[in-house]
Amino acid sequence: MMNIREANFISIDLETTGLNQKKDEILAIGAVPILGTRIMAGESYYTLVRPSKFRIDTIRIHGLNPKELENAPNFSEIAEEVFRLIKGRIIVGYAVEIDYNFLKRAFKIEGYKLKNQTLDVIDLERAVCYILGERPISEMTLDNLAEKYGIKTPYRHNALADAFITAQIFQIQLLRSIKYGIKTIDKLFELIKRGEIDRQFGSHIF
Amino acid sequence: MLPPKEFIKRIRPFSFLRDNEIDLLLNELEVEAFEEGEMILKKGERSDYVYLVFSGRVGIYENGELVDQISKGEIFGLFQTHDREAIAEEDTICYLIKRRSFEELMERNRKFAEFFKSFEERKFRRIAEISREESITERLFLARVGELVSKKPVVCYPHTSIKDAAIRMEMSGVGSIVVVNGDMRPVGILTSKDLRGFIIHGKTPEEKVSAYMSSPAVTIEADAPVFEAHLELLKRGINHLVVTKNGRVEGVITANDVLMLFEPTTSLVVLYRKLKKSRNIDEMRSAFTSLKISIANLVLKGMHFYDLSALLTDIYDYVVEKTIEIIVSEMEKDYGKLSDFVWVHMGSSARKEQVIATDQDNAIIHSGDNEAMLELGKRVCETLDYIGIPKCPGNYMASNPKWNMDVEKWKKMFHEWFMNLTSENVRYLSVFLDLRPIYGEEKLYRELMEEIKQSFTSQSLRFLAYDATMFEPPVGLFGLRRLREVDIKMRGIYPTTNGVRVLALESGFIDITNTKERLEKLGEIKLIEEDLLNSLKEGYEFLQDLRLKNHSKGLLEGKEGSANIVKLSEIDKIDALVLKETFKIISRFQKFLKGHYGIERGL
Repeated sequence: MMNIREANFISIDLETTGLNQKKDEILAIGAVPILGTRIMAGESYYTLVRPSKFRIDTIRIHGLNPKELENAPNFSEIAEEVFRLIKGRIIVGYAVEIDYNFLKRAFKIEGYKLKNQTLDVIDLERAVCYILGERPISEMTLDNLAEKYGIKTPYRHNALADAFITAQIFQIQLLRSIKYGIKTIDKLFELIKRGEIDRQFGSHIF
Repeated sequence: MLPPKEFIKRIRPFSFLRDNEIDLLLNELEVEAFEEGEMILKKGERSDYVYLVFSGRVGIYENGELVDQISKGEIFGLFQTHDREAIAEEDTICYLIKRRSFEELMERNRKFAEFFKSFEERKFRRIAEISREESITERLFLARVGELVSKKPVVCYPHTSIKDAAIRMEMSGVGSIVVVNGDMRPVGILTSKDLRGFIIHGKTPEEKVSAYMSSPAVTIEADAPVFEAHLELLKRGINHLVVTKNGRVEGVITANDVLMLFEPTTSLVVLYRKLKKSRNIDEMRSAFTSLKISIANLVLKGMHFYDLSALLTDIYDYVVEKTIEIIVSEMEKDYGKLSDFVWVHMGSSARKEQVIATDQDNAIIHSGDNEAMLELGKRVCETLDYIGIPKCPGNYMASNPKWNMDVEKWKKMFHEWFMNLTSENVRYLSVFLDLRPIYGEEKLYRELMEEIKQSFTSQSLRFLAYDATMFEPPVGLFGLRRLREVDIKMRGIYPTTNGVRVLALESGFIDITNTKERLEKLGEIKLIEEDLLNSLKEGYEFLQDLRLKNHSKGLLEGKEGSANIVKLSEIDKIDALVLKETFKIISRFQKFLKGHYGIERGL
């Protein structure tokens, strides 16, 4: 049973051309490793990714510089590096399933099979609220979560900054879970599952 | 850019770092969350990190006793002391900065390093200076014209008579009056120069202002930078600029206001000369009033207490001497030659530590002529009040027969105080043991001092020392962080002056009145260890600086209220940090006093 304090996580945020996993492409990857409750900010990873099908001049994403994007590596050039960074870590993210599927597909094309566990801060938030008897905040945007945990700072949004904020939210959620008595990764995932059941059937049945 | 950079960049002293230097810190940054109650640093442990608190609160303990609390934006763990431990007092998030990177930065960036070194060596004045250095250029280029406006605008209408306008100018003590329409929009300005024009060409004082004003008035918007005002004044060779906000009159600034921002000391020299040249009470009053404001301005621009108190002492002493001189010569017309007396000051004025709003604390030691001396005391105190040195609410004044006595009665009084240590008498001692002759026959003063030096008792020393340790500064559990505001006079200045005074009395130099000089003398005779002594000197100046700043702000904003109350939310983060350190020093000093006079055993 893996102790939470020794578990390896990595908070990931992607920037993509859109939300369609079949058509859209990754434009930027931000990743922040987390060891137990410690965010290893110094080991953060950030790269722009040059799309292969999309024409750059048709891409309108706030804050991305088309010139830099033009000069960025494409996914196949960074695949090995990113795969090694992620390998063996639990991927943490905000609405992580979408980013995970993007990554999985991109890696598949390059011949890598991604099989990490994932952990969504939204799910964990519900679970933590459930055990601590808190009413979850109504609109769980990244900003609202950051505000709830007192880590909201003005910053320019990009994949790395968002991955870091997500890591900070996750860090506090972890600390709260540990304080509640949840010490292992298995227990943590169990807790999240309970939170999901709670959501599906409504808390009145407990 | 990682969000921590945004956070770190705004914290002093990290704000002194260049972008690439902050990157160096971030390259190895880790962020850790600690549970409430979790040990962050064990006793004797040498950590590879310096800790910057991002949220929560950390307690620093020494031998199980809470000595410090660290919260958002503050660091700990830089200077390692082996008997200390750090414990999270709430759930706390810290940025962990590699000690190596930190030290490398201290080598690279002089200002960054100096900040921490000054702090460790308790050179508080230097800390303030480092922080201020960055703001000097800022001030010149970023200060807005509106900030220079110190008075509500004095205005009149075009149809106002010249006489009424002049009266209004005189009453408000201004050199110009803005002529406005009904909407407060300026149509012109009437200055002293325009009044000269009237005197030469005018016919009757009932003539309208519009005939003599300079029109249109040269205006500048309140949010324009000050250097623009400077250029405007130079370009047009004028002295007054009308400041407007959305076209309506906000006030007037003069060339002097602008120059004072660049060179605040010039105005002081001019005013000081004016004071010394004044021939009667009213002239003195006017010079004194402007001087007070000018000094307040200087304080806000960063002049320090020790420099300023010398200047203030000089000015106050001069005003008092001159006033007594005038009144003595007035009285001698009725009473004939007055007998010998000496005018003495007590309290902060005696210690040469007065702040701008210091009120009168004075007494007369004379040689027997009760009636004339009381009259002298009354007249001088009234006049000083008129000039702008307010009366003492506690009635410690020469106009009170209780504090206007012949030298033999004074000796008996002190004797009684030393022997009969009621709380009232201890209070009298703490007031009258700081005694400085200002005017008259110093022989009488010296006679009394000799008597004081002979007649104090060891029991009186212990009572006075107890008085100095009664109010403890807010450190420890009920420390600063829990308070919204703190009375720095009661908790800091009072314990220091009182403690130092009793040591001076014991060591036989009570006639040295200045706290800093007393401390230096105590250093010479090695009564206190040097480290504590130097820290105390720095801390004392810092407290007085803070108090001066508060006084000045009050004076310039025309706000009443105690200058001794410092609202923690309103002071600079660095000031708050130094304040905390200062209270720790005073706490150490009180511990020393308790030990030295054996107070813990009870009185």
